[in-house]
Order: sequence, then structure tokens, then C-alpha cells
Amino acid sequence: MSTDRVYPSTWARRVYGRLVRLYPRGFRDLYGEEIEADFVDMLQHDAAAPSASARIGGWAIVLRDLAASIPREWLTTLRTRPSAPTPRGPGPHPRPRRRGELMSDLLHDVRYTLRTLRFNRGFSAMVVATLALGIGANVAMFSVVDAVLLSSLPYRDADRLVMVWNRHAGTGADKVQVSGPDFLDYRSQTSSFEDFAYIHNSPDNTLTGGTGGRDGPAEQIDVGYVSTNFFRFLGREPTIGRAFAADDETSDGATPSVISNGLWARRYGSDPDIVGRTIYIAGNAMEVIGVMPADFELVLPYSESGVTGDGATFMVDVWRTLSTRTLPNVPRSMSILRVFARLEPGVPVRQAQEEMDLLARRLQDDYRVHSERRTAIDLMPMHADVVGSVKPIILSLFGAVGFVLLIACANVANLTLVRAANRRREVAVRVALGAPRWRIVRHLLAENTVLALGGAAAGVLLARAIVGGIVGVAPPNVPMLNGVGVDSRVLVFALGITIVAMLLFGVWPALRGTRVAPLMHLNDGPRGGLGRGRGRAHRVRAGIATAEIALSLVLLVGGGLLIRSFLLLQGARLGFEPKSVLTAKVAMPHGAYDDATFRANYWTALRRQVLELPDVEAAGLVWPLPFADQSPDAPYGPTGGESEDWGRYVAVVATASPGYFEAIGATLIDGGGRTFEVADLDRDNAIAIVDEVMARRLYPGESAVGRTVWIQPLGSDEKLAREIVGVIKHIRHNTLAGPEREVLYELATSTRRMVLVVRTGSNPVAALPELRQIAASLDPNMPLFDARTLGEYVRDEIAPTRFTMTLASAFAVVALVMAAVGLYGVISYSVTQRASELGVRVALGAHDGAILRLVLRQGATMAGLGIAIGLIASFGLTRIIRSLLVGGGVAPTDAPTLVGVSLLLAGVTMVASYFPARRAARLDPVVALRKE
Amino acid sequence: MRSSKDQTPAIAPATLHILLALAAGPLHGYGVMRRAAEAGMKMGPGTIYGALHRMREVGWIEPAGFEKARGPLKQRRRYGLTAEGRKVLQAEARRMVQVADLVRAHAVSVDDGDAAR
Repeated sequence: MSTDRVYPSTWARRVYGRLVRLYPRGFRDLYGEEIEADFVDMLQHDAAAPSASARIGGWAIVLRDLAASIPREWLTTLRTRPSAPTPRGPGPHPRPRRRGELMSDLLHDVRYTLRTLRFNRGFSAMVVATLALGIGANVAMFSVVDAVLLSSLPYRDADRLVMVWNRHAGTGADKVQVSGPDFLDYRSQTSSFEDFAYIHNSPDNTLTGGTGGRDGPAEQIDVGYVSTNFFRFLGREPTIGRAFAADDETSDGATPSVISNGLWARRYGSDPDIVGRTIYIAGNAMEVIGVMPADFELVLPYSESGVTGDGATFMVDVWRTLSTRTLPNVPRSMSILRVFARLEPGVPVRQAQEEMDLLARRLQDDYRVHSERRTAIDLMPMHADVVGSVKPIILSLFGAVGFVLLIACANVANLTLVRAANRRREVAVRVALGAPRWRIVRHLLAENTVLALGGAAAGVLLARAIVGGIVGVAPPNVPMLNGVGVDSRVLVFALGITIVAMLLFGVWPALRGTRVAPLMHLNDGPRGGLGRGRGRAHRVRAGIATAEIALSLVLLVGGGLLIRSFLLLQGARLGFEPKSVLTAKVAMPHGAYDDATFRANYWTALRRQVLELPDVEAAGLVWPLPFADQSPDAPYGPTGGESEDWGRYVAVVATASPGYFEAIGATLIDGGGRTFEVADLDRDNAIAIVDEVMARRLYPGESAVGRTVWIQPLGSDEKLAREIVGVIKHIRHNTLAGPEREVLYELATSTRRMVLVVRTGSNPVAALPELRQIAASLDPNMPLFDARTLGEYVRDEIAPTRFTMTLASAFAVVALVMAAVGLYGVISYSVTQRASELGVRVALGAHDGAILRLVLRQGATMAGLGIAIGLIASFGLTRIIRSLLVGGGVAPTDAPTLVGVSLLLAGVTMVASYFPARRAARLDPVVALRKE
Repeated sequence: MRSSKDQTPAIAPATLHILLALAAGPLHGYGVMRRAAEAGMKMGPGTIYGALHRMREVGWIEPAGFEKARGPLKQRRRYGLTAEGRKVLQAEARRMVQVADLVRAHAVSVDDGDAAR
């Protein structure tokens, strides 16, 4: 700041001088000095006034003047550029175009544009923000689509990989794993495949020792039994050591094993000399031969009937081979291998499938288990199989953000149209002065390009944040999400949609905006005349707003349905009470603990000691735990004899100890007998508890208590009789909604693997250290693992719906806000345009209420039409919407949701039109008329 | 409100005030600004000179010599109305009278409105 006494200060003069330089050169040369001199005179004149407000008022005029006149002079100058505007009257001056002129024209356009936009900050900010939201959401969703659906699996020749599943046409079970002997037959009796590989996932193996126990306490790890070609097949090699060799299957001595990078770092401190070390898994000596790289991740499809915990990503700590002696000797009913194959180059899946169909028929002829199950072999391209369950969800969400972008473009188009209408006079001047229309169009396009690029840049930044959020809420069943990010492919996509967006919001309004008749607009002030064009222009804007409302209704329907289905799942009748229940797994290593009495005593001791803890209200053991583990299905029936019906009913068979039903909070049905008791352990324990569904199937209309049920356990030809001692309400095991298999609970005595279920009085997690201590004191080689509350399992089950719901409703809210803003803009503008008409109405005696109603009706018409179109569109999109409602329970045409979101949208649009309506009603007729 | 038969289009307020300011005789830019401000139309220099420039181009005003000035500028250009400019001003005045009649015909009280403002 200057201390000069002159007013305005030299500093202010200098700033003003700078600003004056923003005028076009020719204009500046002619008037610059006079303008600067006038500026000083003007402010000095104002300063003579006594009040400070006069001074401020003078500055306000000066600034507004600059903001308005600099762009205006630029517009007028453009016709004669680069020479200065001459006082010699208007008219085009055709002159030969020189090389490089186009480029300098473009540069000029951009410079000019930036300047114009700077003087329209509100408009520019609005457009950039709207586009940023639309583009950002789309770029983020595309990153997900790119990572999950478009990227190939991280394996060699991944496009030729197929999964080999069994399907039991008899029971309808599909995606069933393959047995050892079948795998060998597939490999030897087909010609369409380059190679086959398998993995058998075996969770919960106790890893102990090293030498002298220096590797720390026992730990539960997941072991993958794989074919020797497994790593070569996938195209990945260990970073240290070697992969399996063919003779590893037959070698005697310590079993070769490859360990994961995670285990290597976690347990062995990334020891570079790990190769050759002996480790013990379930008491068996294994020799480490290699360490896999950190980024090696096993992404495999979900199996519908996997024996153990499945997921998109296999968490395997140790890979080992199965002995060649084992594989052929496993019964063909033991479907334990997840088999995949690589097609011969050029062989289509269909051709390979035909070969497999023939083989399946041969196997049905040769083996009874296959003819009984009517085993078919299904090939499925691996990538499609991996993403199968999430693909429709991701695509639907991608579609939803597409709608958001459309709405954003519609909004911006409306803003641009309004602006074009306001600038019609400028455009008219330029047309009158001889500027060719394409040139004006080009200017508007340059402006829109700058805005679109601004929006795109902000959108990409926003997308990074959104992607972070999506990954944060994504459920574990979305595969390959860790590869997600804003990479070059995503940027190309961003550029693509920006161009599309620009075409949608920019080009068309630019073409429209320049279609002016100069005489009509030249002399009638900035508001434009009441020409015939105005009614049409309004209809166009109203049409766009209506379309926005329709689009946002579709999104709201999707979001609303998902919220409803989420709420439904949250309120689902589980059949148990997850609050305050802690669970932890215990597993006895195979090869040790072979004494059944020892095992039974162990479980009894564990349960008894846990029950002695002060805060524990109930404790029991079970396998499998609801929503945690899968269990093989077993056929059952009321009689054990040979019958045609056998196999028609299939149940989940679980084992449970006394106290389990109390701990999980299950309820017996009326007259449902009793739960397991400690005394049962010492008696004849051929007893069972069944759920109400099974009881009804077995003995419809009668009490099942005291009756007999026959079951045939997995891999057994024998049928076993069990006396039903209790009937409980169904405990959900796999899904929160929809039909489920009935469950039969056998009394757990000497099983090898159980889940400890503990109901506590207060905080369940607080009990964990004491539980661990009990387990360690009973047997240090059997640590508790996977300790989680029951509530967490249930939450994970809701997670996919929560994910879809969160995204879909976020998109819907953005759409709703944008549509409301769009409608507000259109009505607001229309009120301004109709100010004089409304003024006359008021002058002629119309009430405030009448004006309010008039304007509100305008909004209501658009909203009503938009909602109607949106509802029709939602019905049309029922199939897509249904794919989002994974949990089931809510129909895509759920009436309360449709009515609810329609009302919501109607309410919001009414609020959006209320504000301009109120302004119209408060219009001072004289002011309105004087404007004209 | 204008009827569609009305052939004279309205002119922008800035233009009108410049024409009015110059009606009494030639003035320089700052003089126009002061005169307009006294009539209630406050405009900055950029607006004034832009309008003067365009009005000169369409032949409504013309340069009318120079006036000696104090300050950094030794002299200031003066502008005066052309016959064409005077005709435009008269036409605009007639149009405004018609508008005023129209407003009265719609029974809008002009006095009340002025008092309210």
C-alpha cells in the first residue's frame, strides 16, 4: 500500500492501468488514456462526497464496468482482428488467409475464452463442478469396471483358461468340484486341452516348529494341494528357490512345499536361506523349496458346493503336492479338486465342451456314483466365471453413473442455453458486423472445451477419491479390486466421456445460440425480445429439465429398492441372536490326535473351562458355523431302505455340542423336545436335532420328536439312523433371504475341527485373551484362530448389498440434487424472462397466491411428466434392476418404493420451484414493467 | 409491453443516456459520464467509450473537436450528435411516451410506484 496522499492512490491507479490493458489493443490505443484519466476524475469526484458509501459506490461502478466492458470490447474487436477496430464503420474485410493463421486464431480463442470465463466465475464454477461430479463418478466406476471386468486374470494366456466343474443333474447342484480319479480321466482322455491343473484348498492346518520351536508358537494356516504343474501352468515362478517338479509327487522323505511371501515375511523374517528348511504342518515334516512373489494372488471362481471356505481370492500360505498314490485312490464321490484347464490354441470352448459331454456320458456308464448323480461336466471361461456374480452389479452401477453424467450434461446444457440467450445481443452484434457464424460457433465451442477440460481435470481428481471410497466399502467377493486405480486406460476413458459430454452440452447449445436474426436482438437490450424463438427455447429447456427428472427417478428407484432390500436383510429372521457372541476356530491336525476318546475329552474340557469364565453365559461347539463355513450336503429321508425317492431331499449336516444352541440363541419350536445335553455324550449318541423345515418334510402334520431320520454322509454308501430329540427354528446358514437347505445337527463327540461359540454378558471381544489362554494351556499346538464375533459374519453377509446400496443411493442423491438444481434454473430463468408479463398480471390484480400457483404449476408439470416417464423407464429396466437385488426379497416393481421415491422427487422439485415462484409473487409490478 | 406493430425498437439504456447527455451540445467522455450520472445512470469509463465507439460507427455521433484539459491528458476529444442521432433520440422519446400510455391504459399507477421506490 502506498502512503501517498493522492486519491485514488498511485497503487490503485497502477492496478487500474493494468486492468485497462485487458481491453483489445485497438480499443485501448484509441481510448485507453481517456479511460484512465476518467477513472481518476470519477473517483476524485466521488471522494468529494462526504460519505464513505459514495467512495465504495464509485469503486463498485468501476469494477462492474471493467467486468462488463472488457469482454464486450473483445467481442466487437474480433471481426477486424488482428488489426485495430477502425472508426470507419462496420463490414467484413475479406483478406487472404495466411498460413498459421488458424493456429493463432485458435490460440486467440482460448485466450479470449479464459478471459470471458474469468468474468463469469459463478457460471464457470457451476459448470465445472457439475461436470466434475458426472465425470468423476464415471471415471471412478470405469476404473472398477476396468480392473474387474476388462483386465485379464494375472495368469499366462489367461484367455484360454477354463474352469472344469461338475454338475449333478440329479440334484441340480452345479459348480461342484471334481474327484481325483475323474481329474486323471479328464487329463488322459481328452484332446482339446493343452494342460490341466488343480488345487485342493485345505484350510486350518497347524504349522509348528522349525528347528527347536524357534519359529514361534503354533499357527493355523491354509494349505493348497496342487498339481506339480500348477505354477508353470499359471505362468508364475517362485522368487526364491524352485517350483514343483514332476517327481515331487513320488519322492519319499520330507514333502516339498512352496510358501507364500506373506508367511515367509511374517513367520520367517524374510530369511533368504529359507530354502531347505524343514517346517511341520500337522506334525508332518515339509521341506521348503521355494517362496512365491508378494503379488502372487490366486483368484479363482467361487464354488457353489465347495467343502471349505471359498472366496474370490484364495489365501494359501503353503502349497504342496498330493502323492500320486493318493489321487487315483480317492473315491469318485469325493469332489475335492478345483480343476482348471488351458484350451489348445484355436480350440473354441464349445468344441471342448462337446468333447467333455461325451466323456461325461462315458463316465456315467462306467461309474455308479456318476449315473446316480447324473454328473455332467461344465466348462466355463475362467475370467467370466471369476467375475460372474459381480459382473451384473458392476455393470448396473456403471449404467447408473452413466445416467448421472447424462443429467450433469443436461444441466450444463441448460446453463449454456440460458447463457447463450443472455448473450444473444452480443452474438447479434457480431453477426451484424459480419462475423461468419462458424466463427462465433467456434468461440462458443472453445469456451465449452475449456469448461469441459476443467470439469474433466476436477473429475479425475474426484475419481481418485471416489475409487478409494469404493474400495473401502467393497465386499470381499469383488475380485481383483486391488488392481484398481486411475491409470492411462482410465484417463483415455475420461477424455472420451469428456468429449461425449461436450458434444452433448456444448455443441448443440452453441449451434442454437448463434441462430439469431441480428435485427431482432441488436437494439433491444440484454434481455432479448419477445420473439417467437423464446417460446421454443423455453420448451427446449423445460424438456431437458423433464428428462433430468425422469433419469433421476430411475436412479432413485434403483437406490430406493436397494435401501429397502438392505433394510430387509438387516431385519432378517436369522434364527439366532448374534449380539454378544464370540466365535473362534480350533482344529486338530490330521495325522495326530488319532485317538477319538482323547478328542472327545479335549472338546469337553475346552467347553467346561470356558464356561467357568466369569462373563460367559453359554458356550458350545459347532461345525459349520452359520455364514462362516460351508458344509457338504447329504441326502436324508424318513426310511433307510432302497427307494426311488432317496436323494430328493438334501440337508446341510452340522455337528454341535451341548450348549451350542444356547450359546447362539436358537429357539426350540413349541413341543420341540430338547437340545443336546452333556449327559448325551456318555449315552448312545445316535441322536439328532433337526430344524422345523426338515421336521415338516419328514413328518408333515406330526411331531418329529422321538422319530427317526436317516442320513447318508458325504462319500459314504451307508445310511445312518438318528433319533430326533429336538426341533428348532431354522438357523440361516448361507443366505439372509430366500429359500435355504434344511439343517440336521448331529451330536459332536470326536470331530477334528470345531468352532467355539461363546455368549458373553457384555463385550464379547474382551473374553478372547482368556479363551486363548485356555486353549494354549490345554494344548499349545492347537491355537484358537479366526476369532470373530458372530455379528461380523452377519455383517459380511450384508456387505454386498450394503456396497451396492451405498453406491446406487449416492449416485441417486447426486442425480436428485442435479435435477432439482436444473429445474430451479429453468424456472428461475423463466420467471426472469416473464417478469414483465407477471408484473402486468400483478398490476391487473392477480394475487400473490395466483402468481405462486402459476409458477409452481410450471414446475409441477415438468416434475409430473418427468416422474411419469421415469416410472415407465424403471419398468422397462426391471431386469437390470433385479440383478442388483442380490439378497432377494424385494421385487423390482415394489410399490412402496416406487411411490416413496416418486413422492420424494415430487417434494424436492416442488421445493426447487418454490423459490423462484416466491420471487415471482413478490415481484414489484412497476419495477418489472419499467424494465421493459 | 410493446405491440408487434410498433416499428421502433427500444435502445439500450446506456445508449439512451449518452444521446440525452449530448442533446444539449458536444461533450467529452468524462462530461458524458457526469451528465449521465446526474440523470441517475452511473456508468464506468469502459462502458462509455465502448458505447461512444459503436455509436460513432453507426453514425449517431461524430467527433466535435478537442477540449483543453488539466491532468495528464492535455486535451480531450469531444463528441456531438449527428442528425441521425437526434432522430434516433426523438424516436426513442416517442416510443417511451407510447409505452407510458400503454402502462396507464393497464391502470398501473405510476406515481405510487415512484413513491415506493
